[in-house]
Amino acid sequence: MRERVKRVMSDVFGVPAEEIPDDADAETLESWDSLGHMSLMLALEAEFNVSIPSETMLELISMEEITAFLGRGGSTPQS
Amino acid sequence: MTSITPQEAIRRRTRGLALQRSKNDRALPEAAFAVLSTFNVELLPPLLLDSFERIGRHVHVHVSGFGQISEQMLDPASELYAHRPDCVLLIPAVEDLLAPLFARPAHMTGEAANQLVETQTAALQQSIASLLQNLPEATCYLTVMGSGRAPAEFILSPGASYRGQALVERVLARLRDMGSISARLVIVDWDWHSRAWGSAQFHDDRMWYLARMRLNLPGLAALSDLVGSHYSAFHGLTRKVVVLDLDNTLWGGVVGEAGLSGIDLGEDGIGLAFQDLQRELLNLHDTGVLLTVASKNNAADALEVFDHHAGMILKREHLAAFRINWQDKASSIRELAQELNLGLESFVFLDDNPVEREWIRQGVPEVLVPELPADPVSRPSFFRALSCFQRITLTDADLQRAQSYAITKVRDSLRSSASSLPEFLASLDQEITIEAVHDGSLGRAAQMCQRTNQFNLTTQRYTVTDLEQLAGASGTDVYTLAVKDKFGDSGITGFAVLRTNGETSTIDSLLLSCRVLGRQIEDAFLGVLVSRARERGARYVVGRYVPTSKNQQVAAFYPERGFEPDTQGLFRLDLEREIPPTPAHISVKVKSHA
Repeated sequence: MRERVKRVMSDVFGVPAEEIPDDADAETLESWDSLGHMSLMLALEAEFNVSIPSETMLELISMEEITAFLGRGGSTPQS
Repeated sequence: MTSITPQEAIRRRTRGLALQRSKNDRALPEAAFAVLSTFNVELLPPLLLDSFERIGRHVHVHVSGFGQISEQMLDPASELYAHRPDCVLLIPAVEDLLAPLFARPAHMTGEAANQLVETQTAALQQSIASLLQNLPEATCYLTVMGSGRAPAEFILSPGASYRGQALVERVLARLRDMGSISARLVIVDWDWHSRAWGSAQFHDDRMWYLARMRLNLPGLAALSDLVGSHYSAFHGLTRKVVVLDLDNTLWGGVVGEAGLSGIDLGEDGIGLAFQDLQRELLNLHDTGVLLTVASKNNAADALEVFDHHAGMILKREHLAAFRINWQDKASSIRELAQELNLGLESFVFLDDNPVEREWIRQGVPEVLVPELPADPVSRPSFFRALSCFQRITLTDADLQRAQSYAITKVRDSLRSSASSLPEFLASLDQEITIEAVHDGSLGRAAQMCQRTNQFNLTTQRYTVTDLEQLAGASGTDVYTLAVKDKFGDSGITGFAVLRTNGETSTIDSLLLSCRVLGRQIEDAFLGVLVSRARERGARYVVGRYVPTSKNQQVAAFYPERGFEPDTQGLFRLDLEREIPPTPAHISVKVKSHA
């Protein structure tokens, strides 16, 4: 799944998938700005056929959070 | 247009980003766009790049920060003007223009509401006027963007003033009307076009609340397509000829097998869908698009349908030319292009058979081949949505041209009955009127500069603005030519620019529409230019020929008329020595403005 996410990131951010580290996040990846983030969220929805609620969108700012969210089948954990 | 899924929109965005990085490696013609909107459209640029790539343009897009439409347009020192854009796309959402009304409709009734509408639309119109003045070459695309909701949705009556719907509609109507203020202001009616899909699918609440984006990706992609089709229409990048298949395209079934009475075509059921497609084709015919046929059939069977089937909307007289035989359709299309004297890039091929479509796509790649839906009932709406015949507006000249193509056919049959060409030409009673370009003819003159490829000596693509400047320049004559003969009026079908400097007059532009070729009109036109040069005191007339892939037929135009080859591409005529003879059978009227 991580590879698929990297492929989506590669398309959205315009960087080669190999250059995206396993622990990529919005802090370290230059093109992951607010506009890139919105595009990434929409691209993930399209690729994984999930719907990401607005609050979750604000939280999915690292590879770790994204893969965890997708690993739960796109559902938000109940707190 | 079919609706765009989120997946498709993402793919388009990815392609657009790649195009941005490619730096136009296909070397397409370029255009610089500036986008001004009342909301965040930062996601738009790659989608515009993608839409424009499909119409053969590479665009550079600059988005100015949102919410400063008027400020940017009114301030000559703004970022907008620093970019010197060719095109400015304005996207004012009505919800932003009428923000106080949407915020609290109860506080915005009566006079205050009217005042709001007037102030906002007047301010926008004034800023657009200033934009057009500050960028005298640019085209402005004004998006009419509705709201998808009334200010007070819980009041149901559309006429109730508290609901606010009438005010929203009034603003939209005002925006639509702004098209009349300049030929360089193109109205992009997103409100109307998005209705067909339902505007809700182009909005995403998360994108609004998290990023102030009023359109989601499919919305921005569809808007980009719409702007692209307006751009194509504005620049005349449209097609002129339809090549039609017959069996299962114009009617249901195969006439060679089912016979005249066995084909499906009429007022009922699927037969009506075939008829409706024919109605769409007839509408195009009425506006000057040529209809032709390339069919594998026995000609007698097929023509009998045109002549005798009661359900046919299209008659034989609507066809500019046809090839009904058993040869391959790529050859038929090439022959049609030759017969009509039009380039293959003007052609669109409609055929229900995917194999024939593929054959043409590969064999004659210049021809546009739409993917005609397999189900006949889907075809009328599919055809209506094709952008390849769209134009911004329809002029009297367009309608006249449609008329004149029909007349050309009668004229051609007369040609075969006259015994010699001079006799034939004399029998036409041709009269040409040459006139200095004026406000009423500028549009048509610019249109000809944009569209004429074959009889065009220098292929200068002058715009309305260019022509206005040229017409005002000293020593410069900008002429249009109109042709009449005993069959009717072809309207303005020729154009020339003559620049005189000292003892030399240079023919900077000379072009004629292919409808009037082969009738020595070019000689009469040249004769007028030569006399004008003499009037202006010139001793030499210099003609220029700039070769393109399409204007081979005029390569020898000047040498054949006594001009001596000078330096590269220039030909010189010494007025003290020889003058090309002017044809005696054409009467010439010159109307020159003081």
